[in-house]
Amino acid sequence: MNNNFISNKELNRFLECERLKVRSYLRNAYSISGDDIDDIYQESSLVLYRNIVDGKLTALSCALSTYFFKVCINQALAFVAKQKKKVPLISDNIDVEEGVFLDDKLDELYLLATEDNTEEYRTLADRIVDEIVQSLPETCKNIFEGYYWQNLTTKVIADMFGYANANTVKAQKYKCVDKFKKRYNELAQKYYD
Amino acid sequence: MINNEHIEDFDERIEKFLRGEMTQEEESVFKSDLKTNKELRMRAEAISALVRGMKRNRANEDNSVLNSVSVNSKGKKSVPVTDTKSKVFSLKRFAWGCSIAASAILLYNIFSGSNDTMDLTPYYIEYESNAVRGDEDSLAVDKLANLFDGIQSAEDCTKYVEQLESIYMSLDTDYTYRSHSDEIAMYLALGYIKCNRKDDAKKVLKALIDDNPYGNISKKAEELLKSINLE
Repeated sequence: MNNNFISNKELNRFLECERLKVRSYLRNAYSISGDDIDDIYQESSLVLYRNIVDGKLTALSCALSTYFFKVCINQALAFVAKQKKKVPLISDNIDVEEGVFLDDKLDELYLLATEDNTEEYRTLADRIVDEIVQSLPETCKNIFEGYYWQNLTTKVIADMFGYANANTVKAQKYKCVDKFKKRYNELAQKYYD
Repeated sequence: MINNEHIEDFDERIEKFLRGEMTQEEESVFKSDLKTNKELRMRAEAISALVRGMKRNRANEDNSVLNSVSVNSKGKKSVPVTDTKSKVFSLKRFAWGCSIAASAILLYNIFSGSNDTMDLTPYYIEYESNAVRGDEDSLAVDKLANLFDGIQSAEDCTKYVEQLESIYMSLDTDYTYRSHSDEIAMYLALGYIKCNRKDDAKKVLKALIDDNPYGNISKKAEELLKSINLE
């Protein structure tokens, strides 16, 4: 087993950000213990690095974190299969993702919903979103990132962040959206006042 | 008045639209509702702005990672390495720092505080340790049940408060207790009050109410906060 880590600052930062949630997911979903998870994580990190270097991720169609998460799952499945001495059931179709939020639909809905379609307002709205997301509790940031960026299912998010079940995540997501919406509307209103 | 159930339904419809999963009829009704329902329209604007923002920022970060690896790896046959274990220890040092700080605050309050006479009985929660999580988390649940019981029944509950405070402070980085965060906050506030740390209790209660404005536990938290302010 390779005990070393890739020394690329950006990649290291990314891997450190992903570590806790992947660990939590593997522990909850596959009952794998700490040391084994470390090995799986390290192997997955090297696979990710090699695939980037080999140019396999130049046309990535999902979030990098989602891609890496799937690499970790495949490594975990291989590990579990090896432990049980069975043929691994590694699949790209593990149900961890919801449908992707489509860019054209996002633009369409934004235009339908907003009362001000000027470029100025759009830039302001982007700034408001950044400001609010920065100030949100980690709970909301994690759920938003998992759900709206990584397109993960609420069940996966539950396992990643230690929630009781998918419904708990849905309830929490609703509260977080509510909080976000309230502040978004307040700040947007200030723009008109 | 629009209730929570309706708004959750709004969210589902908005997300279904954004994923392109609506039938033509559903989409037509949705667009028509957008024109007439202000709450749906405001929620749709907020969610679409949020998702666009998440995509914009995170896509930039992903590109930054991919580019840095691609650029750094050109002409290199092997990968320079560092030890991963040191990263784990650095987090532990942080945790120790938090514990020492928490202990210092606790000791200060033990030696400087006076006995409190507030009746906290109505605020303790019936904690269903078996129903909340699966078997794999039973150790964590048992630990919490023990701490909650200690805070409720022990005359000097400082050691329980200290342990619960440590768990509360690590909720953002350790997901073991995440699904019990509201109960942890409530009991920590109750423990603070018993230890005459009312300002700390207020902070925890305010954060609890802010994080979970519609929960039943928030109503209790609000009542408790009012009681402290009336003291």
